[in-house]
Amino acid sequence: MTGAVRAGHAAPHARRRAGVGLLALPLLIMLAVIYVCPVGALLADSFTDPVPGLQQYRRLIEHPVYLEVLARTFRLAVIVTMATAAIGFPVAHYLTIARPAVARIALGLLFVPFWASTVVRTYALMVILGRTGILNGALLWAGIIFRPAQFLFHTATVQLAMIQILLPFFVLPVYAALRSIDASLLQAADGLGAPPWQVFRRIYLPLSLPGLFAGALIVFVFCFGFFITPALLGGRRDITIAMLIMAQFEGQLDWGFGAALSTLLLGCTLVGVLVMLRLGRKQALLF
Amino acid sequence: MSASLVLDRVSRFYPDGTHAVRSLSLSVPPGRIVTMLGPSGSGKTTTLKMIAGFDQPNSGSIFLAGRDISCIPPHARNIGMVFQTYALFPHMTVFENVAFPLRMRRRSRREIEAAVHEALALVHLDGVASRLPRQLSGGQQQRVALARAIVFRPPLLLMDEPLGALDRQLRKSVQSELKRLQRQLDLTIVYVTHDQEEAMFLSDEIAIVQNGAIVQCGPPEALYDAPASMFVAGFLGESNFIGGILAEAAADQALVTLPGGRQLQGKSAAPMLAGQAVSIMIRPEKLQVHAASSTIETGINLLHGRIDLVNFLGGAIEYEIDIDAARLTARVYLRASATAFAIGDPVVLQMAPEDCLVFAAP
Repeated sequence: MTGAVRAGHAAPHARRRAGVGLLALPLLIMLAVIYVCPVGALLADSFTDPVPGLQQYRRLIEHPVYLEVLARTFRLAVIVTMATAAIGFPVAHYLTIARPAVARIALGLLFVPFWASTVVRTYALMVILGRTGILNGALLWAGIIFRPAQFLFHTATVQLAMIQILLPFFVLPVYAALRSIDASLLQAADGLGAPPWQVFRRIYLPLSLPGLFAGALIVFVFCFGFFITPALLGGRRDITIAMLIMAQFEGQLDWGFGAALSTLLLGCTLVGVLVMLRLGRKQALLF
Repeated sequence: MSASLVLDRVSRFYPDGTHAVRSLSLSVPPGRIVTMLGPSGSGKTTTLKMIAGFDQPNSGSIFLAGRDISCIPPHARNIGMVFQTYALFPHMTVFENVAFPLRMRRRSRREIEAAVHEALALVHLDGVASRLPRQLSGGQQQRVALARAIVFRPPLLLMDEPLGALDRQLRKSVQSELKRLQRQLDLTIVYVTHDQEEAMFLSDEIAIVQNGAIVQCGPPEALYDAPASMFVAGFLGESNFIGGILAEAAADQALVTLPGGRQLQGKSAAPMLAGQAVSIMIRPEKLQVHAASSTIETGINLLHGRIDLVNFLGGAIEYEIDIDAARLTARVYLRASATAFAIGDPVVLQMAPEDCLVFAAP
């Protein structure tokens, strides 16, 4: 009897769930058409263009410059991700404890840069940091320097610009994660004898780690494939793997090698993501 | 080990001027359970938070074992607390949760190991030390929270509606366990609840809280038998109220005229003036129900009525009886001698004058 009643209830429920699944169908079709198929074709190109074989990958390994660019891109991504986390975490925490009205304004300010594209924001930085830019003008006027200084085309400038561009991508998921931490847990720890920094170390930080890793992952993935900002603001040494790929497709018209580099980038990113997910899961239980 | 707690005219008000707690004084002797009982929003949880240190009083002082703790941060107060939501740390095992207060006190590893297992044994949970909180049932989580709050042997234990999330059956057994533990460990407990049955079951003393102030405080029996106001009478235990006009008052004796013209004798706690509107309160079990034909007719304090509903409660029967002026509930405990009545039966209600408490009508 009970079983029959349950089954009667379960059937429409299951049907409804299947219906909800259909809602994802347009997205799945779109992803298949404009993402999975082209990327698959590109991967295939790396093994078939101009002739079938592994020659493109052999070339990758034979010339150390390509792997060096990859390593440099990796280092850039790690530095920017860590710096973004160090700057973004306090911001996200502040948003959770600020009065709601203040938090809303702060969130708004954080997202104003989103309204301009990365290209525009990067050019804006060039306007500020250029030889005849606002910063040089101000420093000359104030008499701090007597000749225009070169702020552009340094690795540090690229890093700074990338941090500035990627910060919201980090702050938002972390803010959401921090907000979901039950305040009574912090109170309980306090009441059980934990001074503030112990509450932070043993309760707040471990509980915020999943969010921290999510934010860091997003930033890292963006960094690894970053193109515009390093291309415009960086010096000759700040070549990223994405710029190298661009050069193969646009300049050299060497689609096979470009595809091989793309495959390398995709593979490295996937490995990075998997490692960070692993770490994130382990860290949460470590404390 | 256990200490006394004294709240001396503690007030907490908000910037808009509303009081959460107004000049509340409370004294808890060592080794006792004192319950703050009141409706939600009465200020009892705010008071508990001020004792724990999570909230600061605007005026007044809090003394633990004679020492003013008003300015000490929570982590230095050494008070145990069980939260309504348990507040177990989700990323720590049961063992680590219970060990937390000991780690914060830098106890040695061996000491921690022994104390945690002892605390878990006290709440019958030694088998689940390596599980995570989310793998436990609600009742088990509640007991972990309790073990964590007593493992460092605090001089005072605060409990904020700790059994609210448990089902009735479980609640009863946890209440008994808590009483046993309290006696065994000689704990001083301040307990907050809005459940009057729980308060009567657990407490050495009950403080009834209304609008941020304690309106009456005393042992459960005293509050039940001699409530100081209609609010206390209505909040603690079940009660019948009959409205009327005070005809005569002398010392603590009162004669009340009911709307139908009948008069009832009762007892009043506060002085009142003849002619003022009053309410008579009588507990359901103090109403004696007789058949209308019985010879009791000549006695005093009688009311005629008719049985309107019969509710069987197991060990007792509850009659809902219509009288001219009101509708009363009488509870009759089942004995061989008790007569059973049916719906529609005319009955005579008798009540002893000392069981009829007369209050000024609000």
